Amino acid sequence: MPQTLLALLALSIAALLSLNVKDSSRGTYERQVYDEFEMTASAIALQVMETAEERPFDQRSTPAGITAGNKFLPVRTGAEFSSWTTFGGTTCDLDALWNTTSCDDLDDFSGITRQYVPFQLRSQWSGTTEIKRYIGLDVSIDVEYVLDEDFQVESALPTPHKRVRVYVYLDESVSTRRDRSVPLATLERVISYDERKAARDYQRATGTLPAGYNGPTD
Amino acid sequence: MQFLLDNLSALLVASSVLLLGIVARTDSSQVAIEQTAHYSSRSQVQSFTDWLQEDLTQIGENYGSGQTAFVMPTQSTSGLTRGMTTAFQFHRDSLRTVSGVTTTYRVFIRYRLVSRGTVRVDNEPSPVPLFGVERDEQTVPVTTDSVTPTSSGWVRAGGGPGTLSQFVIAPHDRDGQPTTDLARTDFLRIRLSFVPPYDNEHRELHELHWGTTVGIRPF
Repeated sequence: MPQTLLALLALSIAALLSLNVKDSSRGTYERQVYDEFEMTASAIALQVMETAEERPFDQRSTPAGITAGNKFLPVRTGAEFSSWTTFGGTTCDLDALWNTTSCDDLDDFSGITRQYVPFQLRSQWSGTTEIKRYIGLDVSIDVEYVLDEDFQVESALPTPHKRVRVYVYLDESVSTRRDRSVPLATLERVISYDERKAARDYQRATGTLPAGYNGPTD
Repeated sequence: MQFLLDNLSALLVASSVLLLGIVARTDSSQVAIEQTAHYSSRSQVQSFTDWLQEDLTQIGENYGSGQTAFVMPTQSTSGLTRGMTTAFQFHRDSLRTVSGVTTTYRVFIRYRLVSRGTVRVDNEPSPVPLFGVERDEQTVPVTTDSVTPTSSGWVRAGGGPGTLSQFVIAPHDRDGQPTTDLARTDFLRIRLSFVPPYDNEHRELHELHWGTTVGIRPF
């Protein structure tokens, strides 16, 4: 009887050891895969942020806005920029912005929630046919005015500074035990109105510099 | 024989315990190898992408605003490099003062994709070609604004690991659309894939990926 119990004990200890090793391996693999998702999330966040930053600062400073208002905005007080209540509400396809031309200024990105953005991996080739492969993650974006004197503080009134926050989450298609409401990557940048950029954007669209622009020219 | 039969159950238990121990040890060794390969690979690529990003963010530095400071990347359409960037050249300006005389120099940098053999990856039907990136530099005094590098003046100045399975520098316009028009290029999107350098048949991640986007306007 004691021998049987000892044998059972030995088997139990060995099984526990084996389970422990398996669990540790699974944890290691999960961390590696999660690292990869974080790398991809950073790439997507940067891609979205760079694209957003390239947009005109405000609807009033887009080439169409300058033409419609018949006024270039050289003054940097921000008073003439759009109210934060008008932020968002525009369809922005983050992966194909050329398909959503109304998404034409920075604050149009505000309020985007869990939009799927693919990241292209190495293509495989079958003869002359390219088989594209992607990892997709979800992106949410917030845009707010921030105070001139403190970029950490939101402003209810327009200022020449907008804070853009890009959050990247695991997509629903990814099977994981992780909490999907916690972003894989967060990127924050304060973007300020640059009249030279506004003038250049106008020049690219119309071929001439806007009336009222007295800054340096290229 | 009699002894073995008398202690059969003990032998069975001992064999099971031994087997479980061996399996656990083998598993943990494989995980350790893979973990080392993963982090070693990441570290190699991290140092490569660090200087790559530093280089690319300096495109057109001190150069005339509104002027393009790079040549469109050469994208391969055939062979093992199909779909990849095989060459990319760009430049920036720099000042050097010698004995009170300041001269402007144009620093040309070029990347060349070079073959580094092949590797078998589990989920691929054929061997995956591997590549390295070689970085050459050439510094030319700016006598006229249109100075160009000479074919013999390039000096090897760095390079990346030879484990890349994808290297793409893709110009995009402001809407994120791929473009081949220099004047419309606002961003460069860089995508790399690489294969961990140590082979392990139980590897979970066969290929790792990295990407970034660099805004290059205003030039």
